[in-house]
Amino acid sequence: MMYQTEAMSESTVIDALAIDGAQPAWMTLNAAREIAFTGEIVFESDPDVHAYLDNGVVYYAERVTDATLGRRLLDAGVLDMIQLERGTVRVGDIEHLGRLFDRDSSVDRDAVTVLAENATQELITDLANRAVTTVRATAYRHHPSGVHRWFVAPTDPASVTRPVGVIAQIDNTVVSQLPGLPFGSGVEELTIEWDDQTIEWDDDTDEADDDVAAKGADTSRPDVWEVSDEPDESDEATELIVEVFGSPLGVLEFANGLDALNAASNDAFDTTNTVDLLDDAMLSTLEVVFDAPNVTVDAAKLAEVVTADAVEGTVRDEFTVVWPDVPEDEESSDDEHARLPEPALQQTDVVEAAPVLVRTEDGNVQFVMPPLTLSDEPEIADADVPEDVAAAVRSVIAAIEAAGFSTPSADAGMTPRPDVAAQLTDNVVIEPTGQIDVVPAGFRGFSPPTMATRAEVLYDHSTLAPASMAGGPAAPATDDPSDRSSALRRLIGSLRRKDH
Amino acid sequence: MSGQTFKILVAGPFAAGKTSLIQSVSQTQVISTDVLTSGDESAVKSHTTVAMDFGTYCLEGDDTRLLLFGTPGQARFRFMTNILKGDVDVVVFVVDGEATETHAAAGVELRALLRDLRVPAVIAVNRCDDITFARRLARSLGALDVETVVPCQLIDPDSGREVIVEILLTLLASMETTKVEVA
Repeated sequence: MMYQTEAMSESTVIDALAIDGAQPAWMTLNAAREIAFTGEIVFESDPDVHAYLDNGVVYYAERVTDATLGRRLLDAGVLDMIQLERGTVRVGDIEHLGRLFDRDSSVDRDAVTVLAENATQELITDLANRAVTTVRATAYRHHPSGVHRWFVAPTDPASVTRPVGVIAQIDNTVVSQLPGLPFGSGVEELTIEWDDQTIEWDDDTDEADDDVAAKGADTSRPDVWEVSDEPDESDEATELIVEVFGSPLGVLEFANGLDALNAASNDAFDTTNTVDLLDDAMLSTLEVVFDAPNVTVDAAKLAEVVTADAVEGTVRDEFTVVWPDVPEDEESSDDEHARLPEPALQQTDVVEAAPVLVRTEDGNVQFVMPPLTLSDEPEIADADVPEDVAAAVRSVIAAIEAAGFSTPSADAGMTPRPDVAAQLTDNVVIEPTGQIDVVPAGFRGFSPPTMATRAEVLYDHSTLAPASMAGGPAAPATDDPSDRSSALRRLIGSLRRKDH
Repeated sequence: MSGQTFKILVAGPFAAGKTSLIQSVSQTQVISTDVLTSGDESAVKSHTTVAMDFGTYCLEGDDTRLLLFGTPGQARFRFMTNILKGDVDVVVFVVDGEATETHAAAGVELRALLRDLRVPAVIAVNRCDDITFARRLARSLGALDVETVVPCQLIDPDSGREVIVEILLTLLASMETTKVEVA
């Protein structure tokens, strides 16, 4: 769809936005909206305000005196320095934030955009009724930081699927950490067929070829290594399908059955065992056929690639064994044996421990691991609070509330507990009439804990407190909300009187 | 007279003025758990709250009570805020308008506070007299339009009492709204 402004000449646009004498800024914004202006409008004010519009809608505005957008995001706490560095594209003096969300997936997009929207909204609201005398408009000029990309959907879908930058793609997949296959060996029996991503251990039967192709056509990619024995339809050969992240790496066919592999299935499955098994029993007699490129792979090196040592810490967690022929109830028990131990290294750990590029003292650039930092994110704080701690805190709160009940003014209408009151409010003089000598405690200095306010006293007192005070939201003494509102109004009135 | 108790939770980052706000209205001596600060924090102030502050305000001749709970400002004690925020009637978040170095942490804490808050919240911007600036700061930290924002100078007890009045007015408005919805 063509924007209306695309058919306009720049002079026409300028004419449409021209103002005659002082007029409120909203009139200019309204005119820009009517002509679906795309570009920058500068309102000469004190200070100047730059508004950026797309199809007549202001998507970002700032004062010339405002800090850079990156700094504002940092100050507001929606980004940290590492996220900003990762997300910024620097070309010369340009600091482009348009690809922030593409380059760092940990950035909270909603928080960033809401912050920018709020800042823009406040500024435009402030500007709207201000009288301006001069306006400069430049069609199709967007904010240099690239925020246009945040708010305006790209018309070209291809631009969304661009490859991510070098920093942004760090450790986003475990696949990238797999060791590469050592090509170029001299073993001629092994050939890799890349187009269907299968390795076939040839038993010299064409039927097997067809079967392999059919299995290879299944491109679903469960994130597991799967090793399964599926009996051939002819029952003359048995296959071992090896999948790497869902892509069939190979189908091993054994004319001599799976006695050895079945034995392995009864025990805890181990990649080393399997590879040893393959080496000893089958590899010497098997051939792997590849379409193109017609390369050969050393079977021994292939085995080395798949050994536990080679995949340790990278794909162990992705390795499962599926025996489809086993009944479902037995499969679950076998599966427990077949699964490898949970890895110590999770993918998210890898992402967070990504190396960063730093400049050394001698001017060279190198990757270093960032120092371990403890997050202040509230989820972590929440997660670390056991229920018994929360209960203990609430008990203390109840105890303190009980102390609140013991203030003399409260005691005037309640059962007096002078012993506790004297302990808890040792600075309060209890008049014989039950009235309090009310003296605000403000700014008389900090009061360190005393023996009277130690936790034991407070806690003992909490057992005397009514059951309704033990935690939970503040419970009104009565259920009548009008009483509560009335009490609140009296409190407000009392505080206001003290203002005067 | 029926006994009514209102609980206010005072939250906010380190050295924002939470204890001062409680002290400005408390009639009883504030139960404080202040200790000497250490490390970098000692450069900011000498004492800091490690568990909570507690102050009260009672009407004379009445059994209506206002209880104020202050939470520690350091991030490592944030669990206290998370525990308490559901057990109070209203929450006030204090932020120092001039201590820009605390705003990032304040934003994190404020958003965590508001995320699942079921009671009204008030944002008190300390060391600030400009309501426009206070609102802008509050919004930039993650406050919503519905949250009340109050500029204040908590070094002055009168200003602290004004904040408390605003808090109670917000609570009253919330109660009135709830009453209308129920009706």
